[in-house]
Amino acid sequence: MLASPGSAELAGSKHDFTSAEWSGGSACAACHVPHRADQPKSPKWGGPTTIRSDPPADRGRPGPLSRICLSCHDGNTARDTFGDETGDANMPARSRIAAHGDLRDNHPIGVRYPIGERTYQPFSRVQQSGRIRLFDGKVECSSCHDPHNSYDQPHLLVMPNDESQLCTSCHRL
Amino acid sequence: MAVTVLCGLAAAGCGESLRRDAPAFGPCYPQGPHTPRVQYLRSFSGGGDFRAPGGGFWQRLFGGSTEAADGLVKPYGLAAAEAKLFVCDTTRGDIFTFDFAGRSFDRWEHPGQGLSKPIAVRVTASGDIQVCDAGLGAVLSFTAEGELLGSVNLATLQETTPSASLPEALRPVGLADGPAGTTAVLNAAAHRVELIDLRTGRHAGSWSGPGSEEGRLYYPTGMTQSNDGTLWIVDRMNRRVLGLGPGGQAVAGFGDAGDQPGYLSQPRGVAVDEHGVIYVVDAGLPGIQLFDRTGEFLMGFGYPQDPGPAVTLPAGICLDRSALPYFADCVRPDFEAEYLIFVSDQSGPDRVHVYAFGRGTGSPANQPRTTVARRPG
Repeated sequence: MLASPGSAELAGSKHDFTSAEWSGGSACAACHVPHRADQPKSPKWGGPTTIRSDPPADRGRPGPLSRICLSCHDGNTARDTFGDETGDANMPARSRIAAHGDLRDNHPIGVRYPIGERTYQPFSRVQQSGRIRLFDGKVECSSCHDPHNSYDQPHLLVMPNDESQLCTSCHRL
Repeated sequence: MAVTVLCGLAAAGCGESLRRDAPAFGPCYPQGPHTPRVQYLRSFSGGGDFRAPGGGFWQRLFGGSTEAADGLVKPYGLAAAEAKLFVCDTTRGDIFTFDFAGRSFDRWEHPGQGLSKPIAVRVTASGDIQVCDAGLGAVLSFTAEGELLGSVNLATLQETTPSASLPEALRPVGLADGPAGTTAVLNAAAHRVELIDLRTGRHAGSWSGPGSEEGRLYYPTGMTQSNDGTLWIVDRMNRRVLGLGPGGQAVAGFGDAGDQPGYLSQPRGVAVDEHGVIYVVDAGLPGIQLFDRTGEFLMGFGYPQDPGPAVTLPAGICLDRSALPYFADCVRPDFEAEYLIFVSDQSGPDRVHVYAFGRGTGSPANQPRTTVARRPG
């Protein structure tokens, strides 16, 4: 039976930065920054003082939540992931995600869920899992990973993948 | 200083290879009624972007190897000199060059020493190419022709001063000139700057260290150096930019965490011009933002709602004058360009965006909203 959300915690997970020297005990500051729409900074040379806080993901581009992940998981700050194109890039048929620990062999993000294609589960079935989320109809990092460790799964996955059940929730073999 | 428009063989510019029906010039920032200070010029990803339509003579002039023509995948650090742009590609595991004078895109040849995950690259005053390879955990030095001069990693570091402690881990992500002939190496794994003699492997000391107090760092991502010797370091987790003086003391620091212009969200690359204008690349906003050394917010561009290309996942940045003549026909007649701004982007339709910094001389209120097609067809 799948664990209910909230039964696991961010504390103690790989995203637990509360004990980090820089965080001041903050559990959120590593990934999230304060919303500052009510504290605009006026640029001396002119220009916008506000920007859209949640721009939609265009075709082939990761959405704003995925950008938070990718801006750290780039081989500079944190372990590199997603080394290939977003959008229409497809994994080769025999690929294994994170084969040999290399996260660059990874799943496309910023792609729209292919509704109606026979090699994919009906979207209604994906929704029934209650775990896999789409963002503006697209697969993003948080479709398969919960950075808050709500489900206490390895690699912060949203569900177990022992028998590829995460994969087959979307992919029809 | 006005840019002289080149005649004749400027086919690598905006007039031919990219745009068919789009307007001639990219947009300026900030938009009216303010005086424009930055103009978007063009974007590209690989050798195919430099081919003139029709192939044949122009195809041979512009092309590189077949493999290299596939283009950049996940670029990070960049450096430019003598009208050549060096770009680190962390996924392809090598450095690629855009030679604007020679009109070619190629994998940079450095036989005898492979790379793994180049994060940062620097061209020294003597013309050497220094590379931070986070995969190898090493700093490598090459001649301009790609001949290996030497490399330093954790195993080869030698401690020579009683007060200097070797780092427990080395993940080099930035380079600058250090004191007494050393190279300042930004070590993301130790949250500090290592002072290393790259010729001998001698570790001469370190500056800063992990923490959130003034002068400390946590997961720094980029480093540059202004002409007064100050090191400017992007302190990613603290959402700050730290300035270290010639002795490693904190001389400046600014930045506040936030999701709006003037704030820092997910800062990565940094560059500084000769006027002391500090550019910070931010993958979270996303956008590129300019500050002075006191931290005053000057302007930003590449934001999602800006005309022209909204950067998607920007990473590195470098400033360059040498290649400016090759982009002259992209500069608006009413914009005086002083230098180029190259920004690497790890997602979206294109991997490198080019802008010009300068000053608009025309009526800013009459700037058209322009878009530029990036690939023919």
